[in-house]
Formats: sequence, structure tokens, C-alpha cells
Amino acid sequence: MGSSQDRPGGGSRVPIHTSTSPVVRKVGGSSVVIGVDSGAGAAPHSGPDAVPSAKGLSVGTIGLLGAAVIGVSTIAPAYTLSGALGPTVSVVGFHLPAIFLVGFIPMLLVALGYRELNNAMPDSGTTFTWVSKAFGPWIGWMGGWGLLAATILVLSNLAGIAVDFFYLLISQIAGNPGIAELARNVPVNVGTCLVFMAGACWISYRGLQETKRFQFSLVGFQLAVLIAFAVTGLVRAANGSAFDGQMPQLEWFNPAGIDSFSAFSAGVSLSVFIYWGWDTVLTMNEETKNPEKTPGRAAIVVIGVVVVLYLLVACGTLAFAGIGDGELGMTNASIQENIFAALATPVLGPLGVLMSIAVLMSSIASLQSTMISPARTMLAMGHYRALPASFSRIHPRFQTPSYATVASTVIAAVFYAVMRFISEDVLWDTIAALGLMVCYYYGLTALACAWYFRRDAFRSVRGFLARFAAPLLGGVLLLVFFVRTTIDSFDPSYGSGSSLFGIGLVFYLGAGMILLGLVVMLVISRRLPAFFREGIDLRSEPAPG
Amino acid sequence: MRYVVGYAAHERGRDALNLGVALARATGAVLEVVVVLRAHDQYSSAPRDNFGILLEDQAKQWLTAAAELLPEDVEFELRMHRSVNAPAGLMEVAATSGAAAIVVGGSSETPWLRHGVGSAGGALLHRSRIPVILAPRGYEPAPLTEIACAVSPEPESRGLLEEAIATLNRTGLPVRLICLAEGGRGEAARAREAVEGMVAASAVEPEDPERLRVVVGHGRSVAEAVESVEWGEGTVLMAGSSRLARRGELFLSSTTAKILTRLPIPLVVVPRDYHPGRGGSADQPWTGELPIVGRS
Repeated sequence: MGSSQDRPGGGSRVPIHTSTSPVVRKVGGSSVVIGVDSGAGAAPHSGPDAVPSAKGLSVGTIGLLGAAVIGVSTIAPAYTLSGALGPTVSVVGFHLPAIFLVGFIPMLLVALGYRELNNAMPDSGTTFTWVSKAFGPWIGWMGGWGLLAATILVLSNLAGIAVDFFYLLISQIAGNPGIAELARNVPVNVGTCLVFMAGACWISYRGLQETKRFQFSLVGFQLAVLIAFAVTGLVRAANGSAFDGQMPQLEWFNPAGIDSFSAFSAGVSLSVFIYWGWDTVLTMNEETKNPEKTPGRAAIVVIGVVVVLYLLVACGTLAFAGIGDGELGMTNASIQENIFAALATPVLGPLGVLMSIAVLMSSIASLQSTMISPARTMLAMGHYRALPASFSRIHPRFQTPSYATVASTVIAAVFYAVMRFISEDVLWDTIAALGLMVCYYYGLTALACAWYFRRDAFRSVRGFLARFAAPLLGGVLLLVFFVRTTIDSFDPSYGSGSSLFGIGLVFYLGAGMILLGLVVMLVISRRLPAFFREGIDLRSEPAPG
Repeated sequence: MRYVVGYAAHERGRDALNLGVALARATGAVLEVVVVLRAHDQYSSAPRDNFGILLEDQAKQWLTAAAELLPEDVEFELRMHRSVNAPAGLMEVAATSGAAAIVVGGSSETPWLRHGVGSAGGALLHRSRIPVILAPRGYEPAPLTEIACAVSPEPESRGLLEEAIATLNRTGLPVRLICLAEGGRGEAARAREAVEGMVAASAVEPEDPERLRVVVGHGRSVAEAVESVEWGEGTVLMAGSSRLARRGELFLSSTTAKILTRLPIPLVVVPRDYHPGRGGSADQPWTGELPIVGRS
């Protein structure tokens, strides 16, 4: 007792003691005492048995299986495949499995750089902070904007997919196909979507989190349903009960068979989206039981599971439905943007309802966890005064970025509502634009990594590969795909074929988003000149990380 | 002796801090001002982006601001504690530092007069092993001049009644035994008789019987009975736990919950079978060992 004899105001700071519950392993270290008066008063813990009240709430560290489950859950394979299969088939046709294999390469190269940056400069602002440190505040701000734009796009897409499956599920349960058509009614669709977003916002605002049991059952269920779907599709193709039966051929796996570089580039930018989030496993070092090995091994397990699953589902879907534009064909524009909604019942029969549950759960869980990402980036940008200070507000009770969470929800909701009224096929176009945006900000982050480590990257072979060569190559590839696809998206027939004033809608969503970012940045730089003058390094406050 | 003060940077957190100040001035306790940081669930799929460090930064600012609110004459420590949730964190800190009581504010979202039991308070009131002290909304520090104790005219109230008399002997503060009767004057008279009988039969005798009074409030409901009693500004009300409580733990009784709907002053809920320093118990009394006679 009595360690705090020195008072505030007397020139000496009051020490703040930090401690961690015996049942919660603090990430990054044990109890420490912060302040001038170190040591005294930090009472030692008396072991877990001293606290009967908290028994049963133990939050341990994560093993290989747990880390792999988290990795798969961040990818949300059921949702991702449902949204991305159709648009990808429309650009690469039967070479879908090939593009899934190739698309992974730039993602892997960039993820290596991502991990190096995260180890060197852990920070809530991720891309924004790293790019600012490497290339200065202007490019850094645009990198942060790219991340925000991508997450806002994915939020609206997730919510849109969730709405489709919500009505499909009700119609399957009620046995009334008319209910599924409600999702096509724009006001009903937008209204339902806003309710979903508001719910996800509320959950994030209150700081509610998924639990171990929830994650394990969600991931297990998704994998089981997707495998059942793919295998049934293949069996139906073999026994002739498929819609447009095709037996898988080796040619499907040959990327060189894709007609044009445009198709290849568009395919890669879409497959970047399907792997998006996988790299999160690499950054969970301190939460794992064996920080040296678990994250790397988990990443390999996740990618193994996901690639095999994607190839299987790609083959199963192609084998069942073919690439025609007939009723259930994969290039039929009216089913393409949400392919499982149309194919679940024809493939799985009465068990199609399981697919609806899997995609609905996967997209709703993802909606909630994705909402956290832009909020935290905004929080970090607010913290560095690159956005107005209100964005850096943390709720005293829920301990979440309250203002930024509401702001990102409102932006995503308005965006979805406007898009839904402009375009029939909003889901398709947002997926296409999303791939572009991920290419843009991942590419920028990867280049920032190569530039940031350019001096000390040559000290070891491993450092050279992971810190310089891989991210440089990955970043350049992604930016090339970004530029190529952006140019192609100018064509009004690109993506779903929606256009505005003779220019493809995807172009507005990709290049337009970046132009909008430039305008917003100029406005903000007038109002908050300090950040743009000094950048991150010169701020007096230390980086939050 | 020390109190753990559950602090958060909002009005209810400041209520708790103010009440902690008032009690510390009376008892000489050290305040341990605690912000509980919620631990990130390892299995949540939230981005792995060191948000926790930013949150710690913010918590330090909150604690520094809390230190500014505390007056010169109160000794305190500031602590951030990471735990699964706020009530668990407060109980852990209290268990580790050997605190005599946990002081918390209420919830704003309540139709009650001055009190409201939030999620943290609610959990503490049904699980804590040491007394929990609830601050009413908008509490301003007032010198502690009297301790009231809510007793019922039933035999199971005997332990609490004896603890009230022991508190009188320990602190020298006047103690009012408050009995709330549902019914008319007849009921009230019977209740008074019963409580006075229990005082006479008590194993603990008041050293200064002048300072022990029995007050009976009555009305059609407990809430009305609460309103018929006069609550002084410097008074805190002590209440026992429900019969549902496990031995040595708190459990808010339904009568105390009804009292809370109208009570304008702080409430101290003590665990079941709370007799610190008597009958072989090694617990610390929430009023501390120091006699606080004359501080009124």
C-alpha cells in the first residue's frame, strides 16, 4: 500500500499500474508498472486459484487448429465463393481452377511483406501507417483510403449477399419460392440490408465478440456444406443428372489457356479478393501457443485447406452447371452475382437449405468482423490527426472505436442503397471493384515494405526474400493487374454490363473511388495541415503500437 | 485498508470516484482506481492489429484524468487491469490487493430514482466475496455522518443486525436500524417491537446505546416505505444478501432491489454471514479498522 505518495500537480506523474487477469494471457508481456515510481504497489498475482469468480472464463492461447480455424473464418469461404465464382467464370470460363491457383501467388508474396511490416511496426493503422512511413503522408493517406474503400465495398456486398440468402432461406423453409423473389424488390432489399448493417454495427459498437465454439462450428459447417455441394455436383455430372454436365479436364488447371491478358488480369484481381484476409493468420504471433511456429504452420494449413476447397468447389460447380448462359449456367447474368443461391437446391435437393444457412451465417459473421476493420483504420487515422479527432474516440464503457464504427456503417449503408438503385447487379460490380481496390492497397503496402526495408534487406537471404524481393514482385504484379483491369473497366460492358454515361460502373467504383479519395484528401489537408506537413514520424506522440 | 473503485470515463464512473473519495476521507482508505480493459477474445475474427495497445493508451489518459479529479487529501493508486469483463476484473484486483470493498457507479438506463444496476454492478451484486458499494447517480462527496442498516423483523436478520451494532462500536458513527414494513401503523409498531427485541437479544452490545436508533418506515409497498424514511446526505445504507447467496458471497435480495428503486443515498451490500473480525472471520470490515469517531 501507499506507493502513490507523490501527487499529481507536484510535477511528478502518478504511476499507472497495469496488470492482467491470471486467466487472460496478456498479449505481449506480463504485468508492468508504468510511470516514474516503478515497482512499488504492483501486487503479485496469487495464481488462478485466488479468483474463484472468474473460473470458467479462461481465455487461453491458440494452438494450430484454432489458428487455422480463425484463418478460414476470416476468409468466409461460403460467402466468398458465392459472390466471386460467377464473375470469375464470366472472365476466364473453364479456367476457373487455374486462376484460383495463379491468383494465390501475388497474395502470398504480399502477405510475406505484410508480416514483416507488422513485426517491425505493429500499428492499428496497418496500410495507412506503413505507407505513410515509407512514402510520406500523401501516399500514406491514399493507402489508408484504399483500405477503407475496400472494406466499405465488402460490407455492402456482404450485406447484399446476406439479404439474398435470408429471403431464400425463408422461402426454402416455408416452401414458397415467391418469398425468395422479395430480395429482387429494391425497397425491401435495401430496407432489409439496412437492418442487417445496423445489427452488425450494434454488435461491433458494443464490442461483442465471437467465441471459440461459434468459430469452430461455423467453419466446420461451412466446410461440410461446401464439400457436399462440390462432390454432389461432380457425381451428378458423372451420372448425367447435372444441368450441363462436364467432366473436369486437366485443361481447366492450365492458366496459359486463358485467352487474353485482360481476362487473366481481371481473373487475378477477383481471386485476390477470394484469398483476402488469409494473411491475418500470419500476424497472430503472440496469441499462439508457439509463436515461432504456429502462425506459419497455420497459414500453410489454411491455404492448403482453402486452395483444395476452392478447386473442388470450382470443379464441382463447373461440372454441374457449365459455362453456358442457360437457366443454371454460370454465365447467366441473373444468377451469377450470387451463384449458390441459384444452384443450392438443384444440386443438393432438399438439403439446399443447408447451403443457405451456411452462406447466411458466414456472411453475417463476416459482416460483423469486417465492420471492425475500417473502424480501426479510421481510429488510427484520427489518432494521427489524418482524420478529424472525433474519429479517434474510444467508447469509455464498450472500449470500441464508437464514432468510427458508426461512421463506417453509415457510409457503407448509404453506398449500398445508392448502388442498389443505380444498378440491378450491384453485387457483381462491387465484387469486381473490390478486387481492384484490394489489388491497389495491397500493392501499395507491398511496395512500402520493399522501400521501408530497402537498406537492411540485403543482410541475409531470408531478409532479402521476405522483406524486399517477394513484396516488390507481389506489389508490382498487383498494381499491374490493378491498372490493366481499371483500363478495361472503362468499357460499359465490363462486369455486369451496368454503365453510367457510357462508362462501365466498375470504373466509377474503382478509379472513381480513388479520385474521390484525392478530393477528400485535399479537403482534409486544408483542415488538418499538420499531418500532411509532418507525416507520422515527426509527431510527438509515440505510435500506438 | 483499500477500496477498489471501478472507474470508467463517464458520469457513472465519476459517481463511483466521488463516493470513493467520501468514504476514503471518513475511513482513511487508499483508493485503488481501476479501469478494466476488456481482453480481446482470442477466437474472434477481428483484425489482429494491436488495437489493444491503442486502447491501453486511451486507458492511461482516462486514469490520468481521473487522478486530476481526486482531491489532495485522499491517497490513491491507478491501475489498468486486463480481464474478460469489468466485474471479473474488479473482483480479481480486489482479491489480489486485499481490498475491503468494491465501489461502483450504476447504469444510466434505468427508470429508478437515483440508482441503476448496470451489467458490471449486477454481476458484482450476485457474486462478489467482499462488500459492494453502489453510488447513486450524480453523487457529490458528502462527509460520512451516519450508517443506516436495512433489517427485517425476521430472525435471519439477526446476523446483519449484530454486524450493524459491531459497526457502531468500530466506528463510533451513529447507526440507524431501518425496518421497512408493508402495511399501516399497526404493522409498523409490530415491526419496531420485533427489531427492538432483537437488539435486546443481540450477542453484540452497543458500547454507546445512545447512538443506536430503530426507525420504521411503512407504506403499501417497500418503495413507499423507503420514501417514508428520511435519508440524510451523509448516510450510507448497509444491506445484507439474499438467502440465495452462497456462504460468504453476495446475492442481491429482492427487497434490497426494491429499496434501490427509491433510495437516494449510497448502498453497501455485504455478503451473506458477514461478520468481519468476529467469530473467527479474517475479513476486513468495509468501514476499516480505524475508528472514525468525531469525523462527523
